[in-house]
Amino acid sequence: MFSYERLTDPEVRRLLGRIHLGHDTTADALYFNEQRLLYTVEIQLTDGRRFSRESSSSPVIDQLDQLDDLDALIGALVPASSR
Amino acid sequence: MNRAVISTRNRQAFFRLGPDIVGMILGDTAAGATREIVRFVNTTRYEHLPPVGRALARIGAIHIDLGTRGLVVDMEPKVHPAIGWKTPPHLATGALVAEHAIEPDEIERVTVRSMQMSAVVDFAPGVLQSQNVFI
Repeated sequence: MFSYERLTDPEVRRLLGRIHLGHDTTADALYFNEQRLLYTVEIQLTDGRRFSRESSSSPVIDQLDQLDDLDALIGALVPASSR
Repeated sequence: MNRAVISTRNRQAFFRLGPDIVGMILGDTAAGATREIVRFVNTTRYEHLPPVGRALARIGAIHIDLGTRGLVVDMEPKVHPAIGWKTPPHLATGALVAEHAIEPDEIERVTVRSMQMSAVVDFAPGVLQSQNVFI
């Protein structure tokens, strides 16, 4: 995925140049008041069509989920007393 | 041979740069071979002890004689919270692509909007740097 060939792929570089970031003050408020993440992704096609979708999550819950996953992954390698 | 404990008060630095810190420990051990046991501590249990080791890792030296001159006896992996931060836009983009069968050469522009906050983005001993970044 992160090979040199992939990172320098002209198609990937072209798409990277078409990705823009925007500031959403609603997302600011949602995070600082409710600790929820809000992202809005909008894709505009060359024929003029636009598609948009929101996605949100709680970073705290995500991290706990990840810890569960990590525990399963390292269980056979790291003794419980060392975690 | 000395027993070394590496600690920090900056837990976020470990969250963000865990692999680099591990590299620092391994690289220091491999290059200097002065420590028989290096313990990677990323909790506050040993924060009263002074930090030891090199400030910067020599990545190329990390694997030198690993297992003979250096030995990792314990490590506590910490999850980088960026995985959680980055999941929502990935999910949204994937859903849009699947729903509308979007091909790469059809894409004119992608705009991702979210919050903007000040974050600690790098760590060096005694120095904290911050800048505004999009998470």
